[in-house]
Amino acid sequence: MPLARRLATPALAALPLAFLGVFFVYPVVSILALGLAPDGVLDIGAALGVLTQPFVAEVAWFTLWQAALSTVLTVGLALPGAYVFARFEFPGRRLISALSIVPFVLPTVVVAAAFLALLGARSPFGIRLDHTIVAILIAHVFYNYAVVLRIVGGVWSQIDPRLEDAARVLGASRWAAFRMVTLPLLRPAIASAASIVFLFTFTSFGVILLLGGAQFSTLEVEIYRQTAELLDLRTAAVLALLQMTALVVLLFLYSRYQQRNAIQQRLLARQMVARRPRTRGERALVAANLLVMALLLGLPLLMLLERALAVPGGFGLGNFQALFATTQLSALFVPPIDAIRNSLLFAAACTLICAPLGLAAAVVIARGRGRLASGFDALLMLPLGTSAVIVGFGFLVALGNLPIDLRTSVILIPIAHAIVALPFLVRATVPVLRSVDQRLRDAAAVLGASPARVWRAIDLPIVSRAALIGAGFAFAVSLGEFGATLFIVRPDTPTMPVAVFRLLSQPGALAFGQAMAMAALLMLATGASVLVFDRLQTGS
Amino acid sequence: MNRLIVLLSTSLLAAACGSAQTPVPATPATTPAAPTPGTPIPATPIPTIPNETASPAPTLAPPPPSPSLPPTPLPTIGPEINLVTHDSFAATASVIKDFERQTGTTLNVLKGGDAGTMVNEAILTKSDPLGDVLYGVDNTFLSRALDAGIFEPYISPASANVPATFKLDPQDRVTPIDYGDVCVVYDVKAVGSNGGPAAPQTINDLTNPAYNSKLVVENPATSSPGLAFMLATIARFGESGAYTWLDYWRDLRANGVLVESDWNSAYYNDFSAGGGNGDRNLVVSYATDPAADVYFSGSSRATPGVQFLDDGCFRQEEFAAVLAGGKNPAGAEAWIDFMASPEFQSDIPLNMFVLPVNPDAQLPDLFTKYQSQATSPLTMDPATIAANRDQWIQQWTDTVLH
Amino acid sequence: MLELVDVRVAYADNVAVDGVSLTFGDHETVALLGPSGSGKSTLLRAICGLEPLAGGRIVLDGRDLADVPVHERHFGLMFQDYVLFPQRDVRGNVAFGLEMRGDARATIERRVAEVLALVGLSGYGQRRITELSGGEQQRVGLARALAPTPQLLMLDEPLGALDRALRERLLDDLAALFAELSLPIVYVTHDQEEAFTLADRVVIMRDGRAVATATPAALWSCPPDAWTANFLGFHNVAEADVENGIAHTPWGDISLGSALSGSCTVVLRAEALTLDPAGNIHGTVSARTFRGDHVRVLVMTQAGAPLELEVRGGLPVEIGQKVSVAVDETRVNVLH
Repeated sequence: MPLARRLATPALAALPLAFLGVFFVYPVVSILALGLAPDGVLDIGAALGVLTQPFVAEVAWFTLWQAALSTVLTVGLALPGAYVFARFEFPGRRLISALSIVPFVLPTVVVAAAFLALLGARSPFGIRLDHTIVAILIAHVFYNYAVVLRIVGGVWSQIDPRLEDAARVLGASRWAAFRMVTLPLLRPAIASAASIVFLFTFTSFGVILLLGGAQFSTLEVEIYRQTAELLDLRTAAVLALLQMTALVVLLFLYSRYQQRNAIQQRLLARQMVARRPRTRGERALVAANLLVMALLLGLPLLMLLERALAVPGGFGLGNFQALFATTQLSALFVPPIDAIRNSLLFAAACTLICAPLGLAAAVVIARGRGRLASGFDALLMLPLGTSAVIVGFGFLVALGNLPIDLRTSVILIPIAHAIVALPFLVRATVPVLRSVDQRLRDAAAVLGASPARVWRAIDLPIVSRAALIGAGFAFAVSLGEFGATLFIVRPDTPTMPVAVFRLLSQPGALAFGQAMAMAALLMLATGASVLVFDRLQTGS
Repeated sequence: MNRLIVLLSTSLLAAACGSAQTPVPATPATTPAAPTPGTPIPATPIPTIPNETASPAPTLAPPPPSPSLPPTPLPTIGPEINLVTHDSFAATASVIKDFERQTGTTLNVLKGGDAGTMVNEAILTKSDPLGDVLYGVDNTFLSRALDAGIFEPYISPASANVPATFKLDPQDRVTPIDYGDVCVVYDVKAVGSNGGPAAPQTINDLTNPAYNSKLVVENPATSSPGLAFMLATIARFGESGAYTWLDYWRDLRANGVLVESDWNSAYYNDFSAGGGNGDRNLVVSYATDPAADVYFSGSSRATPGVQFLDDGCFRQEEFAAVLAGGKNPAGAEAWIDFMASPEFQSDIPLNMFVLPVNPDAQLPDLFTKYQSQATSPLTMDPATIAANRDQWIQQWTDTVLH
Repeated sequence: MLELVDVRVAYADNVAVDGVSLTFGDHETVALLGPSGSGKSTLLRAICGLEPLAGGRIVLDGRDLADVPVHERHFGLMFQDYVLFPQRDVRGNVAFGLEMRGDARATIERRVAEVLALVGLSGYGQRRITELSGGEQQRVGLARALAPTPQLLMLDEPLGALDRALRERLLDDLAALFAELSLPIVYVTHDQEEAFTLADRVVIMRDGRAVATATPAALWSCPPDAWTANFLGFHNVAEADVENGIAHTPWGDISLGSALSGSCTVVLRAEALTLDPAGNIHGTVSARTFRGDHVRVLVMTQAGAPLELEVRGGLPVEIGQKVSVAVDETRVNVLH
């Protein structure tokens, strides 16, 4: 192998590794070290002592089974959706697919309010599910539906439907054809999406706290309590390590599975595959699935809008008007325009940081064989499995030692977002990279293209679609300001979720209405940005 | 296609760079302090001598040190003051600008979560503090903060008039700024009228069947008002005797009390007068809620929709302190002085819905028309709180949640 | 015997197959020949059951197939780009149909070996699909379709994805193979060379209809209409008025050697035209292309329309040269 080729992969890996090293590994190790070795000496006995406390086993078990159940439910409900969206054209398909990401982005405070309006004391359906595990599970499905829909749907839309035709002509029933031909080709994408859903539900924080109430506690919630409230760094460190270990093992196994099961196949463009539903059965399937999505995803969002439009005496735009009015003279009153602008800026910055790093990482993982690639893959996913509090507090402890003190810098926010968003980009891109037909690359190489040219000409167009899906996720993640930034000491550049939080911290029905109005704006901003990404994607 | 993305992103970033939120630049030090226009609260310049209001000074100088300390050479206030505070900090823009103009500095506000998280972050970064001054450490975290040694002792001369009950640190290492009472708040439409149960008179009443499944409280482990209420029950019932605080909580649990993780959830999701969807008529909240309710209802309400139970209230107090090792200690002191001054103190109620400690501050009518504080709130020594908090929370969790 | 009775396949926006009625004998190879969009692939899919019928019936040995699902029809289908299962190796692909049938392991292995030998791929069982060349993949596709001994074999443009030399070779192989198999075979293509080489009978399809059915020879010697003539590659096709055996064509007046009158379509076949100084069509050579065993010459006639000839041997012609063309009236097609 020529030297350039041999150096290419490690060079590509260096970029994301360096980023994660400085902004993730270093802070986390620092805070864990502080917890486990407060006097500079590692105190294993004390650490083990924490592990053997009964509440740890309870919490760990609950975390595990609620995540597993949530994942199974989400995949089960979203898989038919992925099929419908992959194979059929129907009016509004693009719009609905884009809107399905909106739940993913909403801050949990807002989602909890919407769900409680649906399932709480004044439920219009008379169903009382607040503070139950059912509410948690439903909320998890609500949040993560889009992950399965878009990742699995994306791959499914590129699988040749004639494969199933061939199988059927050869004697396989519809179901057997799916099971024996399509499913094996889908498995990598399903596993990929499922692993993300599992990760998010395993580390679920807001949903557990707000919808479940105080009697449900996951590892993440415990870590938050121990770190932020009690400053019991030892217990926090032990729990955080426990959480990370569990996820590392899972991810490692997942990555090996993916490597072994990658199937090279020719991927088709979606336009070639999708068509309008023709038979009554097909139309019924599409309709049924849309109904499920309307109930599951649409109803809570509608409740949100309803709350936003509810003014004394009926419905109106009063809450929105109040948002934009300047009656509040507080220095830290948030003009909605500023909040929206900040949100979009941070999201753009986050996506810009993520894109080159994520693509580089994806290439390394897709090309890699063996333990090194698996390990790299696991490392990339680790931030999703690490408590946000740990990362945030890690920043405080470690980043002061860097040449530039970034601890209170605003740039830390998109960096923190990027750490969390990176895995999405990688997850979406790797399966596609692995499926690209090696012969195409060889053909190009024989024609005289250097490896870089080959990559640009062959892989990049195919990969860019997957990368755009991942970038869309990254953008959405950043808009929703997930975990990590909640625990960063930040200068006052409020984003939309912050604006919602602040409005909810003020008593009074008007403030609540305004909070819902801001949340509705957040919904619109997300929907719009996802639609933009969608458009860019098909423009390519 | 790829070019489009790059274009889109860079143009967004360019817009950001162009209009990045920069603090208001400070005016040169020689400009006389102009009276601030338009604020509903009369603004007074920083008094140089306690109790005397001076006319606008032609020159700016940092306030002279308090008469009780030996004279020290006046340090220069650096151009930037970094204030570390919690998420609930709020102040009127013109008031802040006043301060910045008077001192020729820029105030950077750094928010670090809720009060407890903020203190813990400060302790964690003790060797290399994140800012110059910290505001928002309350009486439940005071001892922890003081014991960790993160503050440079300082009490503002502007606090000379503040009643001694507010100065919880005998060594005066921190400056009291505001206080508020955590009480049980109830929906007047459902409690005390319309066929609902009568308004409770004491917190003991809450264990009556009349209030079964009507009360929502917050988890003291994750919520500041939740912690305050728990401490109130400890102060009221004690840890030993015929009826301990844990007995009280057992009775509350038997009476269907709901526990939420934080105030937002309890107030907006469960409290019937909050978001409108809840079925709980009583919630652990703040004594300023009635005033806030009228204020935020626009003009549509003449009387508050909520009322608080004037018993079993716990007094919370917030302090400001200079962070040891900060880069601008003089600026920190200047800011604390300003926070303790009548101008800022008068601005507090309508922004943060707590009450100023300075008796010279002007309370908005709303807060005098509607009772906003408890008649005889319960208190507890910060050192006691610090010593027992973790254990109490554990006992509470075992009794109420498990 | 497979019978199509007024078969219609329609979607919301268009009609793909518009009333096709055909029969397929038990041992004959029928080619469905037509341009893309003529509905031939859709018709194939409809026969398989992959497309629902909007009208008509498909009857196999007297039994209406309307209630027979796809996987019970026992047909064999081979796709244009093979559509092999990527997650299975060669053996796995070929054995698929047998596994669906539930055959015993030993039976399957035997049959797989048999079929692989039939298509000339003995020993390829363990190869991965991605390691095969285009021609090899095509053979695997064929083997896969044949393995479960279907009662009808359908091929949808099987040679479309191959290069010319490979296609020629495989065409010969296929012809030999079809002769061995005594199956009804339906072969869909847009290439008339394939159709004419392999088929006993050719069905011309246009816009969802079957416009002609004949043996290759019959079709070639006398195409039924102008469109078909054009499609089959006849260049000199035009409308003409005939008076007393003289056709007034765009190329000039041509004697048809019979006392015909009326309007018709005239096809001047290549073998009817020669460069002859005594010929009565005059023109100028405007283009000349070397075609291996002949030179294709385009003559712009005095009457105005271009005329295409194939010149074999003889003196070379130059562009711009004035020539005369003689027409052998026995080799002219007159269509009504």
